[in-house]
Amino acid sequence: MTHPNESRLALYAGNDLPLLEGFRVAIHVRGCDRCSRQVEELRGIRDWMRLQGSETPAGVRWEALASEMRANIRLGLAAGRCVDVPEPLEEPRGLRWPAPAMALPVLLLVIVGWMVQSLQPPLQPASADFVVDASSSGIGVQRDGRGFTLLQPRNENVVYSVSGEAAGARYVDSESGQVTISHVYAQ
Amino acid sequence: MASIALSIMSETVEPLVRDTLEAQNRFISDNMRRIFLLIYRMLGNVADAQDLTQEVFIKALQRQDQLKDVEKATHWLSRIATNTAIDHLRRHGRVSFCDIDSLPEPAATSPSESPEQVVLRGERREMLEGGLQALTARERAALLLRDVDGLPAEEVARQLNCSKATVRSHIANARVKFRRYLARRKP
Repeated sequence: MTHPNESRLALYAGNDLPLLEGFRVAIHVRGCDRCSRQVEELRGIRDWMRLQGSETPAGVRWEALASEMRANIRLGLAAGRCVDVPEPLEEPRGLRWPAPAMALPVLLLVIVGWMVQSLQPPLQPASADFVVDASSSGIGVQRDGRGFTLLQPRNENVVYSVSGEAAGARYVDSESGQVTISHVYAQ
Repeated sequence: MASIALSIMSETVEPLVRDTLEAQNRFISDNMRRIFLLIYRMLGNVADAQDLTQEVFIKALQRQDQLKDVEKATHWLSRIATNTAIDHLRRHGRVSFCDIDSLPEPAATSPSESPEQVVLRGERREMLEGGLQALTARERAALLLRDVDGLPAEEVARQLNCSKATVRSHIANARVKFRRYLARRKP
């Protein structure tokens, strides 16, 4: 015979099992002396505990303790009323709509920004008369005889690169180990 | 003129205040012993139980507007008490039932009780407290609410803020542990 485990019997003793499970355990308990005794014992403990649980703890004079607690509760409630924060005053009607009021200038700013951007002429590609060059003195850009050169320090380790409309120079400072990279673009 | 207006006002307000005070006093008197015992059984300490009982009533009466249904008042109060006691245990560690000898006042005895009855009563109390001490805070709360207060398992689950299955598990564990504790104590 398989007996229900102790936890199941403990729940059954207090009518805490679901209906179907409780029915199954009840059938077993009816025919099993051992489980029946255990259930009776558990019910006895529950009744005993209920009786004991309603007893005042040792050394406590309930009436005196109760009146002391009542007085302290009154005091606590009165103290609570003293420190109660008053209800916030109703806000003026105009301040109830901060979100739309803040949204309007933001919207205007977005519209103006879009208009300014759309009025600007598009970037033109670099025209053919731009010349990008790299020499031992540095990298630069020239147009119609005018231009500028980004001078590089006298360093043997400068690496130059020219590609289409850009020139670059890269060198390593022998003292500090710092790497400097420069680029010029023609647009 | 001002004094007439004031006296008319006080006549109107006073009965309301008096009614509220009377209702509060009734609410406290009807529930104080039950709540104190519930907290005491959970904490095992009279001084802490006194403090927390006061705290529970102050909390409850400060939020009495939440208490629409008077029928549910006792469950609501038990819920506050259980949570307050569990929070206290979480903050201050395990339960410690105080030694009867260390209590400041002598144990209250009925004049009709013989010394033998007093000893037996003390032993029974000690057994209950020892059994409860063997449980976890949640098991203890579940057992006290279900078996001592007689609340249905659904209500215990609501009060402990957990599922019915979890509460069943707490109740089953608590009953089994309690039974084993008593079995060990038997001569």
